[in-house]
Amino acid sequence: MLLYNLRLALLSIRQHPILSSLMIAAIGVGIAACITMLNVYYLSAKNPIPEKSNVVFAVQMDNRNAAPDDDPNNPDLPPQQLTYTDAINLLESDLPLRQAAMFKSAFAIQPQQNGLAPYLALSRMTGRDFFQMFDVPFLYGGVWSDDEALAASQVVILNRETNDKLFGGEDSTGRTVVINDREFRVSGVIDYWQPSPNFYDITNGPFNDVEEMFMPFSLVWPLQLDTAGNTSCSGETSVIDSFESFMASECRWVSYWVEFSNAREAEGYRDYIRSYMESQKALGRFEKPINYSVLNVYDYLIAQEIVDDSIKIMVALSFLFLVVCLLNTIGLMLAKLLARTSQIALRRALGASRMDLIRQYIIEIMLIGLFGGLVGILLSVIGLDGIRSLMRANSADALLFEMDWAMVAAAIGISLLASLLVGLYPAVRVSGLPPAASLKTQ
Amino acid sequence: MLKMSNISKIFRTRLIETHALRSFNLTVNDGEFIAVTGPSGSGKTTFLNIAGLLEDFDTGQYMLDGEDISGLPDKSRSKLRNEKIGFIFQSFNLIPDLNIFDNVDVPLRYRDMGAGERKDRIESALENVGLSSRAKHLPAELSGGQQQRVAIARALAGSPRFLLADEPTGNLDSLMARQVMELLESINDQGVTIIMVTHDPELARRAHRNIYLLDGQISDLEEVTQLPLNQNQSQSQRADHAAI
Repeated sequence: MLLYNLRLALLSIRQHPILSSLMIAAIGVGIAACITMLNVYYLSAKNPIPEKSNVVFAVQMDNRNAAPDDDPNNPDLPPQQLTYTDAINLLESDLPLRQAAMFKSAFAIQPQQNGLAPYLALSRMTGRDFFQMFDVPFLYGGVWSDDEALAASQVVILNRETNDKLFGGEDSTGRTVVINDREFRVSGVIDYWQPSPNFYDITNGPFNDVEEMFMPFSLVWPLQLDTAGNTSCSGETSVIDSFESFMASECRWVSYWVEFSNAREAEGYRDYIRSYMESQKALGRFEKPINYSVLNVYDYLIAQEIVDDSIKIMVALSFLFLVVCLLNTIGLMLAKLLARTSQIALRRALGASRMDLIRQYIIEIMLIGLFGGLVGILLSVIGLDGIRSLMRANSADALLFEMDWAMVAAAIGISLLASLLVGLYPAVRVSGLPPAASLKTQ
Repeated sequence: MLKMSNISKIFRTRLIETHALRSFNLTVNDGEFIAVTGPSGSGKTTFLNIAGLLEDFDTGQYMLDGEDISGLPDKSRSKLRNEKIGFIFQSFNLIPDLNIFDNVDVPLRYRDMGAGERKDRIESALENVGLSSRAKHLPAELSGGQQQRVAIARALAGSPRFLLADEPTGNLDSLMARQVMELLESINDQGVTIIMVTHDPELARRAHRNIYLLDGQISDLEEVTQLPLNQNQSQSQRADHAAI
């Protein structure tokens, strides 16, 4: 019966091309608007590292003053970053399977190739574990060694784009890059990698690009590096008058991530963090009551509310637009069915039950909805492609405007569900018309 | 057997009530061929619609093959309609977008019937009405008489026990009307009970029994054999009825 109803639906679409096209267009435009915004929302809110999101954790500790005007928007949420002191202390723990402190810093790259002018580039200063913890793919070479990290050696890992620019895409492992007038040895080149959202550095923008290069965290002292990211300070800031005093201050500018073999191990680490904070509190730090969090990636992104409110509003508006389109479609479907009351009455006379007819017309509108969904996906892909063409390829922002397969499936699902709702009223209404009257007027 | 007892049907609008059937009583035995005549508005079509389970009645009892129709849910009524009743309409009521084969297929689609059996039944029904060669044609490609034969084939394909015909020859010329009537008679000979609404006294005379409806009630009930045989007598009787 399903195939029969599908055949009748196709026949009806062919017999009423204008009404059917209008319905397909109405659903298509509504779905396109809806899916475009839903796609942006989905990519904003999606889990960037699903295979590890329950074993990789962000560590947060609240070292803010007790003063009520210190970050009044998030009085209970620990800050995203730690002080340098806390980061260095936490690195002493052997509880995590992997752990990395990190911040970003800006450098001047001085290309040795003819024709390339020096330019500013961002580097993530971090530990060896960063790459394995976050499953960063390598194109050439690998991570610097423990010895190089301890010795604060001048080594660098380039991203693919930088390697293309400096070395024409060749394997640059072992070659030298001049950065801030110093020579750095290339230990590896990472392949294209752009988590979206950029979960490991929410503080500096969840949709910022991954840095152009990576260097050992231990270089911070020998090079006396400044952070190129956000810094929030608590306590007396007037005493910060030197690099050393900044490093010892209560300013937060270092992100800290840990990985465990399994999620249960995080419990023991939480106890460790509490003990650490209590010991520091005894030393006069952490004025507020102990407040910390060790959240996995998924919970961390939810807690940080990284999806912009404007995106949520746009999603809501796009759904409202879809509703308007669907209301129009209900009218069109009703007009289409009311024009066929004699056929409906005839089918009733020949033995079709109301449910048979409701099923037949629901299938017809769902087929129209499916076509509308496909049109919507096409329009959405064209729209997203247009927006993306205005952006730099592979940038984190541009990634938000790429159609995700999950959204294609969602578009089909929403189209079918929406058309089911749209078809229900007209189908129920016309199937309930008294057949005798329609047969008489035939 | 079809038995209606004290059936009443009133059509109501905001301003008026129309009594379409008043205490209507009728029993139709298996294998009968009944002609229902009467002036416009006398309740012929209402009777046929109630008999065909297309319309509800207000009071009374309707037994179809011993089953009380009152209060049956839509699904059961549809099933009864599909399996026991065949319809033939004045305007043929074929679906213009479907070819002849698919038109005859419509009632069979609402039964749990395999494709093979449906095909056999459709081919047999079309053969019975002499239209096997036109199976792939659209209704618009056939003459009126041929379309009505397709409608008869559609009604017969489901092997109904009752055939309800509403002015089956009303849109046909006399030659085609005669052919259709002969077809109905041969169907009746095969045991199908036929109730035919008609304005044509000649056709009515060919039925076993003639029921004359007036103001929603049976005004006269006579055996066909008792009807006057000559045209003048028949006309004078119709004039008498009209004067009632």
